[in-house]
Amino acid sequence: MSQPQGDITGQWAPGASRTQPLEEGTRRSPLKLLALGALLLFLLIYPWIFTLPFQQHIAILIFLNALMAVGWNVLGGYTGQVSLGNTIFFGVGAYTSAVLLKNFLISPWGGMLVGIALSVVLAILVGYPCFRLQGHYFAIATIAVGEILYTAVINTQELGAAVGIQLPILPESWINMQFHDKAPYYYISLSFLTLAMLVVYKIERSKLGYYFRAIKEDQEGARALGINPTNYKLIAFIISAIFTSMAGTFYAQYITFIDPYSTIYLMVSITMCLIAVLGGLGTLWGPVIGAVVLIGLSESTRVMLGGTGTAVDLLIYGFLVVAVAVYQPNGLMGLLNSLRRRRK
Amino acid sequence: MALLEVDKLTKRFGGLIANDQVSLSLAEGEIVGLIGPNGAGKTTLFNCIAGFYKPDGGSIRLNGKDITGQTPEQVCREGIARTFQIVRVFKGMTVLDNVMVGAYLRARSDAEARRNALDVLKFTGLYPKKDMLASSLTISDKKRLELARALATRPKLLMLDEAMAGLNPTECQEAVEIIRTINRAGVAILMVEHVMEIIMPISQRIIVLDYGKKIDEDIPERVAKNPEVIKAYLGEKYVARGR
Repeated sequence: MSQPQGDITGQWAPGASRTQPLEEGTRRSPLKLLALGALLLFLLIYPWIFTLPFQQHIAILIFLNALMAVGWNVLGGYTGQVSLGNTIFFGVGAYTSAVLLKNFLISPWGGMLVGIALSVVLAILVGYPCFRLQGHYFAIATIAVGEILYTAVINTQELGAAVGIQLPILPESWINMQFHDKAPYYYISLSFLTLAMLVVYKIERSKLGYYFRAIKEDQEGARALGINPTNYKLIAFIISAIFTSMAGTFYAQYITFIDPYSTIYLMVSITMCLIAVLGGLGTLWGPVIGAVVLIGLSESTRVMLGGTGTAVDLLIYGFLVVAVAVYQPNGLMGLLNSLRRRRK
Repeated sequence: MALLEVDKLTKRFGGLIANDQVSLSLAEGEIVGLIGPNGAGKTTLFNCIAGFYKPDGGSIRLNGKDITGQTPEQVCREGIARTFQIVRVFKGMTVLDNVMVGAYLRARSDAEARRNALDVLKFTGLYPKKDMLASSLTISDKKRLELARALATRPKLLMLDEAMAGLNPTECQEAVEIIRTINRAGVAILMVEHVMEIIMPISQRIIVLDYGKKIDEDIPERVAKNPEVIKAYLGEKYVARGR
């Protein structure tokens, strides 16, 4: 009984649109492709042009933060469910691979997969009850979940408690995901981000993307069209968890030291959220632009103001977020789009 | 066998009985009008059938299958689509994207969803506006978009909750034409409407609700002359004059 009996398409010339040329908008303009290719080429040779560790470090931080924000954006931006607990997946990714490497000498790549699996399970366990809540209540519930994990790790000796875990320094190799140079880290983080963006690009144009946006726009309206909101929010949460968990493992390998404050604290969640909001909610490039601006700000204020400049970047960033919220709720991507439209 | 069978449906809100043992049935391909004064329980009945409310008693069957108490998404899968009294289009999405969301329910691929969505847009006359944001449409077009979106889920039964409210006479006439065409394509229609000039000619049968109870069910000509119905709408004294 899945298919309705009265086939209504029969009445208005089925497939009449099939002969039509592809609609505008779906066609990729050659200029856009060229720009994308140029950007990719530039990113690939970046470590040869900018050879200073500091320059590469900034790029890595941008990729890492963008990856987390891309993940956050799947749930928060596309599906409209503001999570302030995504740090749990970052923490799970970081701690899982770190513990497995330190205690059992399991390659971080394997640790990353285990971390992803744990994060997916956690996303389902947390998401199922929390998605019964809507709006602010969901956000508050996710804060609580983050705090619970934070407190739990601080009080677990096996996980290094509040002191954290120092990763063993192993011989440089791809299997150990440890290197003297920053360039390999650069390429790993770049490929993680590229992978995440490709997935989101695909989602945007598929049933998932349409359903995510429908739920964000009007949950009841979406239900009337046969969409089970809880299921699709869970899917978004899981995708979000996977990217964030990957970022967590990478962070642990790159810094080689993790503690609860830097991986499971509320501020980590808020950073992901801020980056996505500033860059543009529910857009492919928004999180990347947001990360460029935030990391650019925080690193430049650190260089210019030194230790006295702590949190000045967040001050400026907070100001930017307020400005965006007031003048351009669609973020920097919205600003770019409206500029482009005006030029036309 | 009837397409939709509602049997002694009851819905209470605290002490208020919004639907009191309402029974009705709809044959395949029928157009049935549901009328009644404000607060008679029409929208409540809609919400119960569409799964937005859980009824307190009675049963709802679609093609003989019990769908009582199912969620809205399950009911939609079974083949009942609805529009809302107050339009609920996805404002931040384009017209085409709105209809795509509906079309994905039965489509096996992105291309198929897109094709079906475009077909529905042509059919409802929204094709030229397919790239506009839903929020920038006129109220008449928003209602039309909601209809198109519901239609894209390929329902057997379409429930329209005041699809003409707020439309001018020309727009109403266009909407009536669309509804007739949808119906000719084999979709049964249950519609709530306040404008009698519209619902009387289009409906094959009229069901009248008052204070949650069904007070009449008949062909439009006879419903219009029923003293009970006139009383419900206009009050006691007009009944005598009508006679």
